[in-house]
Formats: sequence, C-alpha cells, structure tokens
Amino acid sequence: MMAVLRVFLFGIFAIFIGLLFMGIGRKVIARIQLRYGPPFYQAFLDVGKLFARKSITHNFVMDLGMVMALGGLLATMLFVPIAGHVAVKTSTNLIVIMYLMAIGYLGMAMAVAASGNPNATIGVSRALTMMLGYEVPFFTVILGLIIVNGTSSLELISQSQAGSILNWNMIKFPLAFIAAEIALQAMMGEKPFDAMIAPAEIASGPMVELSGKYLGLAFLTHAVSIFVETAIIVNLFMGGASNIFTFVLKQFEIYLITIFIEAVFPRFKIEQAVKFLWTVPIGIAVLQLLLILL
Amino acid sequence: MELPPAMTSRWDVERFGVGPMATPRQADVLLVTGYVSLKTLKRIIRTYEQMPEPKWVLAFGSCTVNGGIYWDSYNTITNLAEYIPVDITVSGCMPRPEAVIDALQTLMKMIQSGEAGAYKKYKENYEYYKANQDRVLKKTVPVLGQTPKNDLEGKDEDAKE
Repeated sequence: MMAVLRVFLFGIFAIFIGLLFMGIGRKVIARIQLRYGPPFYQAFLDVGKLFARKSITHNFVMDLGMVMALGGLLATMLFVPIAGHVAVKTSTNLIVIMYLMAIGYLGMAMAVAASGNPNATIGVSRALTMMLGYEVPFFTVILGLIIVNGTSSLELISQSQAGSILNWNMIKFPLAFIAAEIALQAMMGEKPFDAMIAPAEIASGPMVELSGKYLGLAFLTHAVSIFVETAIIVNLFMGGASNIFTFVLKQFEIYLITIFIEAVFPRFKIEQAVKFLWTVPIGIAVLQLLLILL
Repeated sequence: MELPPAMTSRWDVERFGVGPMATPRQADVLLVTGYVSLKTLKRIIRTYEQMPEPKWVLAFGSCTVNGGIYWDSYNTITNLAEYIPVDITVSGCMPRPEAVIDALQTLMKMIQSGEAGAYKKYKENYEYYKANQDRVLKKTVPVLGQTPKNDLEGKDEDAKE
C-alpha cells in the first residue's frame, strides 16, 4: 500500500514541477521578447481547460498510444533518483532509464500515426529521426561517465560528486557537459531542434489531430519529460542534491539554459539538425571519451 | 493583419492566456478576419465543423457584419451570422489590435456568465444554416461542366449515378 502511494506521489510531483517549469518558461521567453507574458500558473489553467473540453478520438490505438506516452515517461520517472529519494531501487538504473524513455516517444508516435493526418505523420517521422540524432551523443557522454565511475547506478554517480562544487562532473568533464546540453536541447524538442513541432510549416506536427483531453495528456507528457530529462542532467553533472528544494532549483537552472537558447534561435531543417548532432556534439563527446580513456 | 501585432511584443495578447493555435482541433475561438468570399466560406465551414465543442466565433471587421465595402459584390457574403453562429462581432474598418483584445476579454466574460453558447444554436437550427450555406455555395460550382474535385457537390453527383 505504501509503495503504491509512493509511486503515485512521485508521479504527481513530477507533473506539478513540470507544469510549473513550463509556465515559468513561457514567462521568461516573453520577457526576453520584451513582452509581458502570461502568468506563471498559465500551464495549470491550460491543462484544466483542456481536460474540461470535449475531445475527438479516431480509433482505439490513438487512445492507447497517448496513455502509453504518459505511462512510459512516468515509468522512467520512477527510476530517477530525486535528492536521494527513488521510487524503485535498482543498481543499474541509468540503462533502464535510457531504455524506458524511448517508450514514451514511441507511444506518442503510435497515437499520432493512428490519427491518419499527413502532417502528424511527417512530424512523427521527424521526431524519430531527431531521436536517432540526439541519442548517439548522449549515450557517448553516458558511456564516458560509466567508465569513470565504474557503475551505471545514477545514485552512485551523483554521490561520487558530493562535497565541494569542484567535484561536480560539470567542472571535471566540461566537454561532456556541453555535449549533453546540446543533446538535451534536442531531447526537449526546443529550438533550434524543433523541426518536429514547426507550427507554421506542418501545423504543430504530432499534435495536429489532438483535441481536448488528448492535448491535455500531451501537455502532461511534455511536463514529465522536462522533469525527467533535467533530473538526469542534474544527477549526472551537478551532483544531485541533499534536499528536494535544492534539487528542483538545480533542475530549474538547467531548464533556464534550455529556455534562453530556445528564445533566441531559429529552427534547423531536420537534415541540418541531424547533421549538426552527428558532428558537433558527437565530436565533443568522443574527444571527452578519449581524454577519459587515455 | 491586426493579429500579428496583437500577438507580438507591442500588444501581447498572451498575457491574458490567449495564443494562436495551428490547427482547428486545438482551437477554442475561430476569428474570421475581414471579408469572406464564397471559396473562403466553404473552408470556414469546414474549419468550424472540425473544432471540438465548446467553440466560439469572433467575427472581425465590418465586412463580416454587413459586407463593408464589398456590400454589393457578387462573390462575397454580407453577413457571416447567416452561415455559422457568431458569438461576438468587432465592427470597424479595420479595427485596432486593442479591439481584438477587448473583444476576447468580453468573450471570456460572456463565457463565464453563460451568455456565449452560439455553437448550441448551430446544432438546434442546423437546417437554417445548411440552407443558407447551400444557397450561396451553389454559385461556386463551375459553369462549364467539369466535375469539381474534392467537393461535396462532385460526390453527390457520383452517388446519383
């Protein structure tokens, strides 16, 4: 009973923090563009409104895929340690996390492919191509950290950086951090790597057929993905944290960097994005790997 | 033409939680800006019927209320409210971006108080709206007899054969 309650609490916490980050992110982008911007709780209002609306479904696979997307990311969340708390304890959770994270995106792909809209299909093919682009540099970075620490447990990697700020992997392996940041930008689907969304070009891509509750679920999926991805980076490079408040603050710093880049950059075409991801971040990551090994 | 300034830095309609959406499935409010030609009307009706309920229509500018300067044109409609249910209109030619923001806020108040429910009228009086739509859309059928592709008229003819 306690275990179920614990899992439930972790999910609610991730969704809450993710939506809060999304709201603050919109406000920050507005301030950079010299606008006033929506209130910071706008994301909560949006989700509330979307769940109150009627929604149009196309078939059963679409319903299943949307739930699979949110479920896959929530399952990933359970393996990510948050300031020493983790819902499911394992000794090799980094590999499980990287494996489960793909399931969320595959669920989304299934849902929108079932909706049968050509714009959605283009968007999903771009999203999966982008996934191919960012996962290779991210795995290279993770491989380097696993070799250094001799473990694939995210808790042990974050504990090994305890003590002063100079022990952080961010300071010890700056090249790996830069490569991971670029990969994170693509992972979150922010500019310049948002070719899969592209509202002016393919009418918001995967989301084109999602109405009401389905769009609400897509919002929640995005919120959880923000939480999971920033939490992985905080654990890998910023030494985790001793309490939840510091942990969320560190996550917010990582998210702010992403938002700053998002606010000022234009968009890559998909082939440019994959070419960039397969040259610059991979080059940096491989260089760091060589520095670690030699 | 008033919407880009209303959305960007100068007037910033996002501070009221209003933003542009790329597809009708995600939209709450349909803004019809400016005069409506018959070909546009066909697409407006399709867009409107694709939106999930509850949905609202904001008719923008004099052209959608009484035809504006196109009042005697053979190819534009004069009153949008005869073809789809309109919740709120903004008159003027052209209205300022402030008028858009004002109309959206008035619409929000109307939704709060339950006054804005024109989409229910569309379902109740569908025959009236459909008759009006068919009356004008008849004019878009080509005169020289080619069967139009992707049109409802074309499909009907196929069905009769």
